[in-house]
Amino acid sequence: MIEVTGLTKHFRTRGASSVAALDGVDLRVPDGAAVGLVGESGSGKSTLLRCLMRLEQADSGSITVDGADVARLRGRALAGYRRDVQTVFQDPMASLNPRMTVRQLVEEGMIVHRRRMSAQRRLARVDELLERVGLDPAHRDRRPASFSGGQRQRIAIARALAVEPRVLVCDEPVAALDVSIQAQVLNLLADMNRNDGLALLFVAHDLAVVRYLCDEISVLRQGRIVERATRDALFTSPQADYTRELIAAVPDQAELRPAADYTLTPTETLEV
Amino acid sequence: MTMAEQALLTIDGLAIDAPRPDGSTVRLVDGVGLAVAPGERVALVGESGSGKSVTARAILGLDPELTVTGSIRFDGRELVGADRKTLAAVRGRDIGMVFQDPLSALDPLMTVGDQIAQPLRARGMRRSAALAAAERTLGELGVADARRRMRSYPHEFSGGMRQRVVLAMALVGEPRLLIADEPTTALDVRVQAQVMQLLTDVAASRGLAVLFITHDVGVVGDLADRTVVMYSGRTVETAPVGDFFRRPAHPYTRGLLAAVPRLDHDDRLVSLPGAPPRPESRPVGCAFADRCAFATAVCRAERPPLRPSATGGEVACHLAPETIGAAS
Repeated sequence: MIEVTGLTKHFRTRGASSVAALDGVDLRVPDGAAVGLVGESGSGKSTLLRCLMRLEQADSGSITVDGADVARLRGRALAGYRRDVQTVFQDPMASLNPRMTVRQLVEEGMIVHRRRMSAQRRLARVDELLERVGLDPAHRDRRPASFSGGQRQRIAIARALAVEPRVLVCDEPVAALDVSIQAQVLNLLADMNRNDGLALLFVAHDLAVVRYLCDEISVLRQGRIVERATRDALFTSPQADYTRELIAAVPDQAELRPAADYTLTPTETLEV
Repeated sequence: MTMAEQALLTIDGLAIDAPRPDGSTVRLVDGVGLAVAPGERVALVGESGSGKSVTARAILGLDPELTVTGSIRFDGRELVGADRKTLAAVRGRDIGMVFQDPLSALDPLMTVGDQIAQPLRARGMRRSAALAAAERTLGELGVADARRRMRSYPHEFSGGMRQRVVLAMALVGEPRLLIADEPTTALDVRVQAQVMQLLTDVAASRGLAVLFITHDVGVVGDLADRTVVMYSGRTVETAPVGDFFRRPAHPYTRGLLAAVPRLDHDDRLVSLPGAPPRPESRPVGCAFADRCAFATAVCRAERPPLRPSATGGEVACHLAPETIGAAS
């Protein structure tokens, strides 16, 4: 389990003043959980993720993994942390090297983390991962440009899964995807969490998307967690004014559900 | 066709071709038809690559490198093939337009007031009168203390305020049609809701027609009277907004609606398999056939025409709605 306690990070601004990007943030991601973090731009969510990835050093507070301080991890323990916590970013076109084939992208982590594995085993594992995320293994020698946005995001997920992480940190993973395609990625993430026990830390601005995936949701505003609640509690009885504003801003669709006769049947055959 | 007679804007049989480096062309838009009546708010919904933005930009002739054929009539005037003078007269005066990213639409070195006044100055209005009109418009858009804010520069404004400035620029000339291309996509959730509300209020109070381009079916219900759905460069469905949500006729529209996470139910999302075809490899038949659970041989062989649907709109589907549901 990952535990963030009292995390604080200030950035210097012009002159002597500074701005608190994170101001005493507590957050827990238990094994196998799906934890949502909602925040608008400037909320500090990116800084929090950068601290989690050790790209940024917090001023105070701590991040621990199974009780060990992440900031003090060195050598093999650090490599282990980097393997256990994988990240999927918003824009798969920016995060996937365009000159590498799908196979190279997916197996890179296995090589880096020195999994003792023959090339043949590795290839078999690549194919298995591609199938797992709903891609055709026969396309393993293509490059990212020949895939759609949703497919690219699934390549990024296969790449993250290749090293068997315990936690998948998702930073707005569907914000850049078209509606008909984002459902492919959301369903895949939901399945991996519910069936395979992969923990998710899912960061997004879209409340409905977070609600679809997460059991517990924290609302981050100006570097502070203003509310943390279970999914149902957050939407039925939000406590913070800010949470209420966010929920009120979601377009009202309550009366706009398709009538039963007009839904897309047969849905089962359409699953990817 | 009474719709076309009453319409302020009528697009018919629109095709748009883009040049490719090898000298050939690729057809970005392949048969779009839509109409906007005076004061009507129409949402043009489509995913990236559907051709919705390029269609909107073609109305004002903003991409001269593209070849546009078919017809775009505004208030009786044909805009396809119109000379620069005609287009210049329509732009900003009869038709205002706002884009997704307000910052790239604003000049960082010019005060907000002068920028909003610019369209009026361009037609020869005196500066003082133009600035007065700009201030009124900014106030109409809910900007408190508009007089003082007129002297600010764009970087001093938040994203939502910048979008109000861009809206003011589009509205200061009192156009009859506003084309809004994803105007809230780059904004935070709460600001997005405010801007949508503002747009709806202003359109209602001015009797302004709006063509609202969006990929987000969620925002359609709050604004639109009618919805036009585009897929792979073609209009696949038009419907009054209530029917769009409650009785969607085209399988793609149904898939789109079932793919959106919602706050009011926990059903598993329907994910359409695959992705839209690229414009250069659009199939001969229905462009959606490869992703459609209902597709038959005729769907792959023949392109379905846009024809009246059972719900008071139009649909381009060989099967809808008789075969695929709502048989009652």
